Amino acid sequence: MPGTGKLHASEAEADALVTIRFNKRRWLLLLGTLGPGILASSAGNDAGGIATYATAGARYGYGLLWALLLITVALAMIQEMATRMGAVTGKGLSSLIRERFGLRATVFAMGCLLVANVATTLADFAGVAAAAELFGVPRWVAVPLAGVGLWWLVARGSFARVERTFMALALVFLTYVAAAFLARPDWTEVLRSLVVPRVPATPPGLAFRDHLQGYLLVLIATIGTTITPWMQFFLQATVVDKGVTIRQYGFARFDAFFGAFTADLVSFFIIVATASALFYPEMLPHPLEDAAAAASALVPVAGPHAGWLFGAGLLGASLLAASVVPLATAYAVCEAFGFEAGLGKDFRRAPVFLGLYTLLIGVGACVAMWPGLPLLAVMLVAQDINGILLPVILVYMLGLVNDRRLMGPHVNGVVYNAVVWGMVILVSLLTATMVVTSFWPV
Amino acid sequence: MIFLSQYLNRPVRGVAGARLGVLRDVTFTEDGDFPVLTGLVVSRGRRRVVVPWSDVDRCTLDTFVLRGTGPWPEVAGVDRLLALDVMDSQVVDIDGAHVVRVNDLQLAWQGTRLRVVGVDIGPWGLARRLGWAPALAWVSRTLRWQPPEGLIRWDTVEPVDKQTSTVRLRVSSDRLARLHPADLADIVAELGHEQRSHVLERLDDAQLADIMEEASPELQSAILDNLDEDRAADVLEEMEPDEAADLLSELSEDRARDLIGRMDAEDASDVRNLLAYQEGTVGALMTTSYLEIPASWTVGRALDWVRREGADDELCSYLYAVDEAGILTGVLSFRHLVLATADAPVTGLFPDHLVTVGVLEPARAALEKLFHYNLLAVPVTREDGRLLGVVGILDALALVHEPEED
Repeated sequence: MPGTGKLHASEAEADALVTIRFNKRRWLLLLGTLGPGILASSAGNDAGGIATYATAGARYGYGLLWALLLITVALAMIQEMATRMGAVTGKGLSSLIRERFGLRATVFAMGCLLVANVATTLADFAGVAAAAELFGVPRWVAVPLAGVGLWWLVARGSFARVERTFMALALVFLTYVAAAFLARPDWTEVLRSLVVPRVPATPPGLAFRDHLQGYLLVLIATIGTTITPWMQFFLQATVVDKGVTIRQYGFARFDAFFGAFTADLVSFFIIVATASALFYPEMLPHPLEDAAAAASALVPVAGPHAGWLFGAGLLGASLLAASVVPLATAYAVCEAFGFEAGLGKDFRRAPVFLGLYTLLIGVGACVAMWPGLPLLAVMLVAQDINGILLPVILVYMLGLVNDRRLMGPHVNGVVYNAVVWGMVILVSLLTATMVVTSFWPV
Repeated sequence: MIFLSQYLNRPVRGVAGARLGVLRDVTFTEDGDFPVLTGLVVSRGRRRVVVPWSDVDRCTLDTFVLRGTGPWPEVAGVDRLLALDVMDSQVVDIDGAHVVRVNDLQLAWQGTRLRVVGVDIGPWGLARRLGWAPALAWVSRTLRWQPPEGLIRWDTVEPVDKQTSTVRLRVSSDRLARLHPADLADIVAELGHEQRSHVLERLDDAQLADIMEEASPELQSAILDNLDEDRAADVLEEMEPDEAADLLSELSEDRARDLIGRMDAEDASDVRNLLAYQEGTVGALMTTSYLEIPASWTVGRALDWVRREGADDELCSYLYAVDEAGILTGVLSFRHLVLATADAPVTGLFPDHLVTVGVLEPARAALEKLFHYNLLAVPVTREDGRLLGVVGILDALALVHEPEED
């Protein structure tokens, strides 16, 4: 009989086989949806993150652990918000801001994001410089090399494989977990610091104002490096790219929470390890001078090779963030203003996209190779800038996520709004205090 | 050229020059290819009123001049507002085949009416609205660089509603239908979920199936989530069986079984059978949509049959001849069929050497045969020689060119 071809296998036979082809796939589905949250959170542990957590541990011991716990809860909720917005609307954060709040508000949001991300990129090139110096390579050799290399990799579009190498290098920071345990800290003390908020007393010989400002600087930086503005744009864009819809939302929500908690677990161990190695309560709080000091916390694990181990991790984390942050910025801005964007497009087709990417890498690399630039201070201040600008982005996000026309039944609940608004108010108050106290007479 | 942004947030005046309020928006209605403005939304103190077009006397370089002083009605929910609903929204640029964002709207006079004639998607539109146009002009002069103009005609765009809009723009699906399915798939990928379902609603099952075949797995599953289950099953029926099977294998088992259950029996059994082959085998790669004739036919009868039935099939580079038991006995290229006389039996055209690939062999075997024998498609058989499907060169090439992970 003529006609299009037909198969004649028995259905029972077919059914048995179908099960096999599906079961393999279900894991892939799980892995496909898992990921954005974890990637976003772990990219938060970049050079600036390491510098901030190490500084927190070295200066204040366990004195910031309570803040880290609260920040983690807020981070989990904020990441979940970004994921939920991506899954419900299928649109990026910039797109939503533009459509909901109009052009002027978008320009303001993008301006804030740009400032924060220039600072972050600079911090990451400072991380490259610091890592290079641990290996005895001068920064004016390593930084331009890294800048040109990253730019070229992305412009050529062969970024994916290298990204994985950087991520693998950044896994070095897991050794902080071992370092924390080997340092034999007083765990009951650690746990108490985690749940009981305490502001360390003013040490003798230091004016209260200076003590307060120093503490606020590190506290805001800790918030800013853990919950970064760029991460929310990046996360939502990734959720949209993966085609996650509210139907498969269970996985994505798990990913957002899981990512927040695992990333901050690493941060927790970094603080504990550096506190055990470098914090002496009887001494004046001292700034962490350089990367070698931060690396010394790894001595219990790596012995004399601590510097090299730390350097490798710092290099990987810095390079990863130094390429992802400019890329995320360029995507977010182009999405907001409707400019052509995409890897593998040339300057003629996507001038703004490549221009922004080049600008961020250029500025970051040029400033970071400046001789005598205090690298750790730069990394810390960059996180402060992120922290100070975070409330702006959070207010936009809250406006969007509570809009029923956008989110339908998936708007925020009371607890979410309370926590995230709490974060907005807290950071704004901390910033205001820092500004006001700087006018106090000593 | 007149742009909406020139007038927004500027005072409107009476005939005598008195300031009557500030222009906040304009109302419009669809009328032919270019929407026509029907009124001005003016804020007077705390109220926002709609001044009908009949009360607009004229418009100067930066202001509208109104006749009379009202009273005018307040803005109602049904009014379509150009600035609120269209500015900053996305539109599909049909000629450029991509999604762009509206930075400004170009207006033009037709008699005594103003119409929306174009969409500004370029940097000039942004600069004009932010009041940075002089700065952009300066940059352009100093760098001797001409920013792209970015103006597209209104009748070559397809508006996409903002998610926050309460009114839906009238849209004509025939503009979208002018696009190649591959371009349309790219466009659908760029839209949000709600806009996507607005666009998808307006396409028929066959168009949707074409898009699905061009789409990435992520987009396929997102589109499928947008459709209700019966429509999803209809679209799967329209797709080539191998594409439909690949798509179903990406879903959860329960969902896939449910969708297969809703498909009509014949398509469902095709898909179910294809799903039975494991990933990486020839069976999972092949399609069951090909041309098959009895080996006893003549050339004339075969050609006749192809003219009537052969339009829809994916692979029609060859005809496959089978005996009564479904065993493949020969392959006919159209060149040979056309060159032969009508009353010759098709068996006379069979090649001496029949190239086939086994259904359970690894998928690469099909690719190697295609390259080695320079074929456009290779038939797939069971051990006993029964014809089960065909692997075309394009499907096989996907093995060589695995999409790069990102």
